[in-house]
Amino acid sequence: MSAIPIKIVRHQPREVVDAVLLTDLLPGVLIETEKEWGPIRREAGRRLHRQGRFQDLPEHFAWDWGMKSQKLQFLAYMCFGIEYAQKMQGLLMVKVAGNYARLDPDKGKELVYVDYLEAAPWNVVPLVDEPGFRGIGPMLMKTAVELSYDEGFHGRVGLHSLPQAEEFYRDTCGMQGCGQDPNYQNLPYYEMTRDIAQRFTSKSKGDGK
Amino acid sequence: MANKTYNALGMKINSDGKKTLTLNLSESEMQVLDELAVKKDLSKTAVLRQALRLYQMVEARLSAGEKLVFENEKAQKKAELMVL
Repeated sequence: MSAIPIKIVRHQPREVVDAVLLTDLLPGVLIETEKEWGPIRREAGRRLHRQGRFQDLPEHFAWDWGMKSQKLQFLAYMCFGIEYAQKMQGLLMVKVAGNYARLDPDKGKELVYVDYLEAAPWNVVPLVDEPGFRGIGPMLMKTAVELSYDEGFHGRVGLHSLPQAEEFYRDTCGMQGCGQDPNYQNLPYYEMTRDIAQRFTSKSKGDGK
Repeated sequence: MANKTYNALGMKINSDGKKTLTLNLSESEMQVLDELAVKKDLSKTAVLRQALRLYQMVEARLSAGEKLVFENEKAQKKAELMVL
């Protein structure tokens, strides 16, 4: 595991703070993170349910990073985390083998597949009214793109999106939708081509994210 | 450039923690590796890294009693890959 210094944006007071991007996370870190996130995520879900805000109930309500950590026994899976003040602010699990681009001009070539991406529950509206930090999702997506460059995949990234997250991947990340995937719970599949990746990373740099 | 040291097996260990392995391949094996690297637009190291990652996953699933099957939806054909 290594730690790379990064900047993240605190929401209130609005300021840029020093954080670290942790690479090659071990299963134990995910298990500990889930112990902290799980109860908060579930309580927020129960609160939204009590308030009748059913459309706001998080679709990743039942995620369990402890269970997901079992995938890290395979070389094909890697996990990254953003940490600030000894608290994990976001997690990203990717698969770097066995997934291939569906879009031209690189159809059939390797890409980084985003298996799971989650910001800490205190950074997610509507789980909280005011997020602790902003831009955790884009920062993790940028990490996936940078990994894709490092692997020689030219920035190509693919993923299946939960419906609540489609707007983020489509509008914030600029990914191209490829329609519902009948082979993967009928979830919509999105892809970032090398051109989209270039635009996304240059935009991220411009935004200071 | 990363500094290199050698472990007890004579493998190079780079300062970034990666190890260097000298690989002996036959001419035909090298040709396949070259072709895959061109087709996939990857370095030869990246191709071999991909192969190892996939082989590990396949081996784990076969060991768990699963089968590896290839499907051609257009031809409506399925074929089980025999892995000995």
